[in-house]
Amino acid sequence: MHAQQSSWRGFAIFAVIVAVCAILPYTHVPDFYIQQAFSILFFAGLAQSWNILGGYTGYLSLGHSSFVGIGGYTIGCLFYAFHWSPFLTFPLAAVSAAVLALFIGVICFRIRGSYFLIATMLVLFIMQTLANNLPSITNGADGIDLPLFTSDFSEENRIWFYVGLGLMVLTTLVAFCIERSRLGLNLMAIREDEDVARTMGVKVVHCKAIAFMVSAALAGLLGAAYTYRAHVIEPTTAFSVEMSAAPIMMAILGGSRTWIGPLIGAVIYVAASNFLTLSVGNVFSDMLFAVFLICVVLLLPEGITGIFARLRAKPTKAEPPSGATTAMGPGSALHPV
Amino acid sequence: MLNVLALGILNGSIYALVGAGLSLTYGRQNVIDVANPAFIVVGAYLVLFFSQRLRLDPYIVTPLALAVLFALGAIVQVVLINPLLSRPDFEMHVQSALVLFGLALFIQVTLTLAFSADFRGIHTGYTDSVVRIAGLRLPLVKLIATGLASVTLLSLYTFLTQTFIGKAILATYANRETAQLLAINVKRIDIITYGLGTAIAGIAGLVIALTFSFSPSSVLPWTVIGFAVAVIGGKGSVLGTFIAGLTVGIVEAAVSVTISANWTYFAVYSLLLLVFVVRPSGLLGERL
Repeated sequence: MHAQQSSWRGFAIFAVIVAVCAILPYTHVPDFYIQQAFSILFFAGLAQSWNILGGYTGYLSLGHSSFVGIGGYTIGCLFYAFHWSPFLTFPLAAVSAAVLALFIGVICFRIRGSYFLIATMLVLFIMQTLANNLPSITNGADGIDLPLFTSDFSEENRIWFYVGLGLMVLTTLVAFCIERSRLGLNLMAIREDEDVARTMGVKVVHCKAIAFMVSAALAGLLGAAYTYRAHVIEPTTAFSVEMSAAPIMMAILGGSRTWIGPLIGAVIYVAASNFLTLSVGNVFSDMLFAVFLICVVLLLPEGITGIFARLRAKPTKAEPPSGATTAMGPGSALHPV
Repeated sequence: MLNVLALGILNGSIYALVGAGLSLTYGRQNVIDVANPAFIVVGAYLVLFFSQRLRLDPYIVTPLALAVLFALGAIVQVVLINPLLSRPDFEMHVQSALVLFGLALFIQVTLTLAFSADFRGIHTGYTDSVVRIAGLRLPLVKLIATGLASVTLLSLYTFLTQTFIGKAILATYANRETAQLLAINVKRIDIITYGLGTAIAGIAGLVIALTFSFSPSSVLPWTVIGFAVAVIGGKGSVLGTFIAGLTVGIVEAAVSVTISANWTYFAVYSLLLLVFVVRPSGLLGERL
């Protein structure tokens, strides 16, 4: 199934869609949509970067916004202290996020499953308190303001659209390459059974650390872009639980086993949540969202791509009838490979 | 200084109570119960609601609130958690966390709609009374809270170790398959465990309603405290939970006196992370 889904054909379709998106700002699409498109692209990239560790390896990090935050604070603090232009310090955002990931990895990879989930959430809270309590570096709860680089509103939207698109394509390329590489196979082996993977000669710690650092570096870049786009960074929005939970939900909604899933999930998620907020208001949209989340996890555990994989696998594979019924059973999470 | 530490101990016992329900329901069958702390806030609102409607003292209406919460907990187990039980372990972790996170969010929004987002508190004739013991000035409600927490934890301990159902809960915890072989109806035990955990969250809710102010957005801070206590204490260990609660309370008080109140959360999170890394099963929990 993996070979089938991460095929070049899927990637070609992706490339065509990206190419079509790239000319959008030069058509007569209203500015509002270009502006919204940035948030879709940002979250698509974020979900994709989360999925490199969370989806392929099965280590669910609830601290992904730590990397978004540290990426943002890297460019923010350098601007605050030395007035270095955020565009020049962008790569440093990836470096600092990767270093943080290495540090978290050293202390947290000893633990698994729910423990890893909670430990990463704690790291997130620790980062938030640090950002609040070190005003000499981060300007505390007031946050740091970043400069506008052009006063032309639609020009700015257009630039950010391309930055978002570029980062989304970059994360997707990385995820695609990892999925097709030996590293990707190792990661999936860890997901299915870590002890067996280790016995079979997979360098478990090594692979997890690489996956975590790549995932973090990409999130750091995205965080830097997000922060500069918002022109301000402050502790509660930089290190928020919502920002950590969103990519997880997108990946689960789309399907977390392939690079396609997080993209589909992010598009549906952002579009649906924007639509709900606009149409029924914040409170009800939160409520609908909660119900939606529960239903997706209970009814579609493999996400949207999981359904397609099932539909496609059924006619081509001549499975024995008993196997087919288990694969279609409501509680089964087995993949009809 | 001493007064602050004493207050830390009193707060710590409240934290122990907050973590107790979670300690029962979290980690069991690979379920990450992020919804339990939301039920604490539900408990606080239920006590507020009933005591206002029936014009009775908050302590008297508590059993009513607990019954409602037990029923809610049982429903959650049957409707939301049971369908997940047949899935592989690594998927269940995240899926249970997501489903229950959704539930927590749902609860928070429902509370906002029903009671508004304002901070509330329950005021009784004795809310502001202060007791002087050996030169310390301690608020009466917190002393009552500590007493209540101790009694609750003690009864929980007795229940788990002395009664048949309690032992069955611990057995299911220790090894689900073996418990099943010993003719324990694990599905029913699940329901009882979750209901019990939710009801204990209700007692914590009562205590919080009387000693702190609360709002629908209190769910997140109490989730953090609850997990801190439940994790440090070790899942399913009542004694560990109590020690962990006191530790968190004392650390919080000590840091706020010696450094500054800004760093209390940092200290608590770091302590928790340390315990996680060094001993993920908690102080008195079973080794993994």
